[in-house]
Amino acid sequence: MYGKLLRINLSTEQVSVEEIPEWVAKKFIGGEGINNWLLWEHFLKVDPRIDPKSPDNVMIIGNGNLAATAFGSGTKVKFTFKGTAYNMFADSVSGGTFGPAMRWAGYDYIVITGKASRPVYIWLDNNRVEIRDAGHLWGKGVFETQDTIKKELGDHQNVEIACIGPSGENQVSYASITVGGKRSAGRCGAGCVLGSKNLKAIAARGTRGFPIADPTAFFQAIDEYRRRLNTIPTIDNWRQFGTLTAPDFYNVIGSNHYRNCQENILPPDAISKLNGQAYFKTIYKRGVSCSPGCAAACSSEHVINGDETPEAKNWAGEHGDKPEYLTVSSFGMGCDVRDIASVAHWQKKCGDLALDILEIGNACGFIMELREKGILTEEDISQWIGEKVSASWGDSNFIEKAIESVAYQKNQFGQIFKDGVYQGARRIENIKGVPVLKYVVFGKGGSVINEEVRPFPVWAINMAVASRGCCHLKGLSWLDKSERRDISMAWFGRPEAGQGYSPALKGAGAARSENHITAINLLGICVFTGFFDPLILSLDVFARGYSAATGFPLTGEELYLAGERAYNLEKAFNSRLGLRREHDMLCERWLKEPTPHGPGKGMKVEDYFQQVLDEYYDYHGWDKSTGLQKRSKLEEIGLGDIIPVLEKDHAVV
Amino acid sequence: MVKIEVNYYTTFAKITGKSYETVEMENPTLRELVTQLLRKYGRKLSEITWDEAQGDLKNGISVLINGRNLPLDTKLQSSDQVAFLMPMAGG
Repeated sequence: MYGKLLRINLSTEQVSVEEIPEWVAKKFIGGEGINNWLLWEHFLKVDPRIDPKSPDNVMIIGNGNLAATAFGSGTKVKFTFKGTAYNMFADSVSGGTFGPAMRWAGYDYIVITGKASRPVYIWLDNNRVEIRDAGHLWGKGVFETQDTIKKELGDHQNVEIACIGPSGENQVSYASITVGGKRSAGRCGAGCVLGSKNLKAIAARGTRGFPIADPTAFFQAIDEYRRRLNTIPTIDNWRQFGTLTAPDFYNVIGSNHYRNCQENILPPDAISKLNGQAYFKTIYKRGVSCSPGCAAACSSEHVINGDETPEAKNWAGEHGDKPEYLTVSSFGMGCDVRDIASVAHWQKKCGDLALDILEIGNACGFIMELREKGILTEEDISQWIGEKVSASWGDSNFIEKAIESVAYQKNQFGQIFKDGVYQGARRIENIKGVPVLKYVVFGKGGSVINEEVRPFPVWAINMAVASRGCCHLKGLSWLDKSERRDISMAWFGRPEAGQGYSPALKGAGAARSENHITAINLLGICVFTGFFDPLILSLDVFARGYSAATGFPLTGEELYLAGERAYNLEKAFNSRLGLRREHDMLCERWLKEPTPHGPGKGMKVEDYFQQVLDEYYDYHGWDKSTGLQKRSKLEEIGLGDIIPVLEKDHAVV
Repeated sequence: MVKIEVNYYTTFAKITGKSYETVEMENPTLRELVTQLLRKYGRKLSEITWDEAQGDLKNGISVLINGRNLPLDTKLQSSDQVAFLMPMAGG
């Protein structure tokens, strides 16, 4: 009634199904909330300080209650685990078709533990669960794996697959899971965890569906959601350009990541080859949604014929989904490759090898900067790669080789960057005896984001504190980048959080954005459509959809509180691992180097960081001096039961 | 007279059919420039840009002066760059 949970122990091949308890559903709602509770429960029995590549780690896959419905905000499936990339709390989210197939097969949540004795894949055929041999799939890329599985299951139409590629098999710590062939659960190493469990893929065929508690009320909620969505002035633009709205907007406000974030505005000749117009004039084919049930449908498909851009001939015949902004920023802007076809190719290549785009793209830009500064030579890099590369700005051949080197662990370059850019930089310091960490662009946990943050204090704080390591999806605040004074007025009764290029009220803005976005993530839907405009699409709108779908009354206020509760559980998990205020940090470039261009020229994070961080902790009700949660706050939000656990780890004040 | 460079991005470029133009006006405010452009490009531009009831730009639309979101009564100077943008964050 509150959701079906499938448990699979790969060591013993035991499979069981249970109901999500009522009190859990009422407290954590669903999606990210119930995933977090399942993670917390797992690590009450297992020491959270384990090596995340060990069989004791867990992989939790969860859908929210609006996922795989016609509500209109798409479906985002959430993978939750202890992360291999940054050794802390981790979750990764993806669109695509696997989440809906899993839910239509009858499972809202899957908890995978243990380690298979040989490569396997899981086959969920509605209510039948099978663990099948995957020896013949090991070593194959995602696309070949999916085709092979569908062929052997005799169904190309209804089987949907989440699987890993060579990166996960080779234990690259930032390996991802490719979902439905075109979308990725990236960043924290979800693919590495599956690889460590000898789990190549999970295939699902769901034709059973699930009941909606009050169909009439649900259709009313859908109508209200879509009517409100269509009044957002930017919605038609979003439907066409999606995240490729950002290159132009960011170039005006000074938020792009150019040449490893040495610059924040691209020259005209570069931006014109990497913006939304460049994509639509060259390789765009047709608009699509990334997952079923989305009324915004901001994705699209591309086809490369070979003559659209200077480098398109290298990728002629390829097709795939639209490159998202962070793919463009990682490879196109960060490495100064002024070719949208090449960017689209690398998105597909990283999907096939199931490798996180931000981390490998950032690694390439970092190497190019070291090469420009003369710290590394062409000979150094060519020796690591095993063949001659230039690795100067715009060198597509180097990027191609770098991706393969890491995914297949085929040479020294691959080994240097097996655990991300931050760890790679430390290895280069050991090899060369020269300090290079100051050129790595990163935030919490050593994780990267390929966007400029210095002039945008909400963003800077969100990148310094995010529970899964530096990440835009734990805040996604439009407050300061879009200068939304109206949102600031509604949230705080004051406009300052929506006034750009100033630290005023930005700590509170960062904290409230985290709680709000987590609330949306409890429902298994897209945060972009969900967070488009939190005034027009208030949490009440989503709560009414949830209530109609499940039959359990929920208000927007209760949804927000559940979001805050879920985010506090992520914080508590990290506190158990020893993370404190000093771990909420950013790289030297962002802290100490002035923003080079644009309206925020001259701003650097160290000028406002501590003061805004204080306000962030205050708003959350956390302790400023340690960064830890306070007992009183945990009791206030209904998490008093976790206090004894935190006390044992000296992780609460 | 002041010369203002006006840049149009994404959907705004589609509506106006251009990515930029130079507008000459006598000592204008941003409101006067926007009003003139709304008249020039008609309903398609005003529908997504202008809140008739509030007499203001719609919330969520960015018309920036040199990258800054400034009040509509801001006086424009020669060589100011005004940008019509669809704002967003993340990617």
